[in-house]
Amino acid sequence: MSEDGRAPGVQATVIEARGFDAWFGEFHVLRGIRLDVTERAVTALIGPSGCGKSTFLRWCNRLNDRVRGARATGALRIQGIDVLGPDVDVVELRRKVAMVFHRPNPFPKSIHDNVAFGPRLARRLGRGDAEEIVERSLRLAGLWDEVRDRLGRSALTLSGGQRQRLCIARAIASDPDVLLMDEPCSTLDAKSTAVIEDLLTELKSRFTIVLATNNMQQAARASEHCALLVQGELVEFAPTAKLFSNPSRRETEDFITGRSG
Amino acid sequence: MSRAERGTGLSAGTTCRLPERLFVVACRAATVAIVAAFAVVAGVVVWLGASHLDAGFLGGTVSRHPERAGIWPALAGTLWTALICAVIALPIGVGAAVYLEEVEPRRGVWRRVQRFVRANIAGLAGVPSIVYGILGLTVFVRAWGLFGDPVGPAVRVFADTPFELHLPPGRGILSGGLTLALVALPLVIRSAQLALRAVPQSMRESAASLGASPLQVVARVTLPAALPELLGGSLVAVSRAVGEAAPVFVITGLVYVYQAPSNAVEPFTTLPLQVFDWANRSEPGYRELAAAACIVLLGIHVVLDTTATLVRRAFRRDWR
Ligand SMILES: Nc1ncnc2c1ncn2[C@@H]1O[C@H](COP(=O)(O)OP(=O)(O)OP(=O)(O)O)[C@@H](O)[C@H]1O
Ligand SMILES: [Mg+2]
Repeated sequence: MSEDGRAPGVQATVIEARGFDAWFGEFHVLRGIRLDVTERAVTALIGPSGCGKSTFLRWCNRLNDRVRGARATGALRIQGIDVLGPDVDVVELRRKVAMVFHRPNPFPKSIHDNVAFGPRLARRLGRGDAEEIVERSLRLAGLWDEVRDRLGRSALTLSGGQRQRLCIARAIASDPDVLLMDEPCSTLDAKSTAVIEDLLTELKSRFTIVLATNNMQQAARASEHCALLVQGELVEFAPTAKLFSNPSRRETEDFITGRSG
Repeated sequence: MSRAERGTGLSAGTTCRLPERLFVVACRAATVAIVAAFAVVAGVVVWLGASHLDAGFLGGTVSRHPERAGIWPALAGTLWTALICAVIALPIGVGAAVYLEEVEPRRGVWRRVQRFVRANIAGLAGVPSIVYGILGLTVFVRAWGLFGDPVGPAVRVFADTPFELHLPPGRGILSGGLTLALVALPLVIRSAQLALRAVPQSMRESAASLGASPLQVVARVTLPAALPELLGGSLVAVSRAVGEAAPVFVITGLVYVYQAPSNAVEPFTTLPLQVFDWANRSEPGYRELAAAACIVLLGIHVVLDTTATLVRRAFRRDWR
């Protein structure tokens, strides 16, 4: 037994969805989702466009609060916190559950200020502390060597792939537990995509990652667990190797062989 | 936006078909006509007034002899009212724009207020400025007559100091500046709204996703991102208001002011009014004076508008 009382090799569940439903107005987007996201691993969400991947991620940090008409029912717990509960502290939740968007969207500020943005929201940072956090986050995001000499320059001087890694650095700077990544490579070329996929293997030793992706090879390469959503329903949820080599549902096989979706 | 991004290939060149070329030629003629009209006006003004422009004119005061007259009282009045106008209109205008664009009222009443103001603010910007002059006369100069007459104000504080204030405020630069702020406000609000709307929604979302409270999203991301456009647009609005003669005329009437205002309540005049007065006189020499004052007024506009452009550019360079 390890120190926290769990059997070695058995990883804790960080995100737990049970009978989770989501709507936009009258439109029922997600139905009866049951999903367990394991600690320090990559869980991929795949499925055809419009199946509800982003919607699920955006409920995990309650970003959908900002969308008029969006609502959700059922159970969604992250590390024991009832995410949909009326008295959950949304700001606190978002500091624990960070997000990287499909389009790299750095703020029009310096590289340094982008990364320090999250930590500075919570407390006043001394210059030394800020520098330390910025360096650590940029190193983790694999961007440090490229930008160490120009931290004061605008983030908009970076290339698309660099910007996305900057957004990753910005997301992890507050030391979250969970990293939600919504098609982080969809606007990037093959090379930048490969860089970010390599990064995922590093990041998952520290963070629990949920990766929504349109790219099945990416899901196959980068994830431990994989969930297939089709039209708002969870079709199959299994270890990635099994889902791709030996799917138990007909729809899954159709989807991964490209016969649907 | 760079030229290449919005290039359409439309030109009067031989690569385009005849109707396209005619269209381009017509549009070009419109442009040339505008430039020509402005060039003529500016040329006449400069030709008439340039000889008057010297230190004596800028520093001098009203005189019965046109060749000795100067604009210092009017220039000072313009600068002071501009300052008061900016100090009042900028924070209130930006605050209102933030409320209109960034706030989501919970209560139905405030939702309706928000929707109503949003729908009507553009119309407010089109209200003739003399209407604001009447408003300023009623509200600022006379304070609805609640405190007696401006000539015998009910309340006087800091009397005989530069900070002297009256209630009702009377016909001083305070009332003038506040009235010009009324003229500038709808314009400030409009431009601030557009500046805020130009900030992509993804900025707000990523800030929120990093744990920014709604207030932090506005204060640390939306407003800073909108700042250059916001400041630039506001300066243009103030510059517009300062050029208005009608509202100031309603506030002050035509008065002969021999010195720069030394407090906020004594009679004052501004450059547009001075121009108006001089341009209406039939004696020789006054038209030239009016033209020279116009040049100074245009100079103030150029300075403000250039500052606006520089502000926009200076911040933007930082972002590219
Ligand atoms: N703000 C919204 N208002 C109304 N409907 C929405 C909204 N956002 C998404 N939807 C709808 O919800 C459904 C799920 O959208 P979602 O963005 O979760 O899909 P997705 O799986 O992420 O697709 P993609 O792979 O294209 O990103 C879609 O049919 C979409 O049209
Ligand atoms: Mg999506």
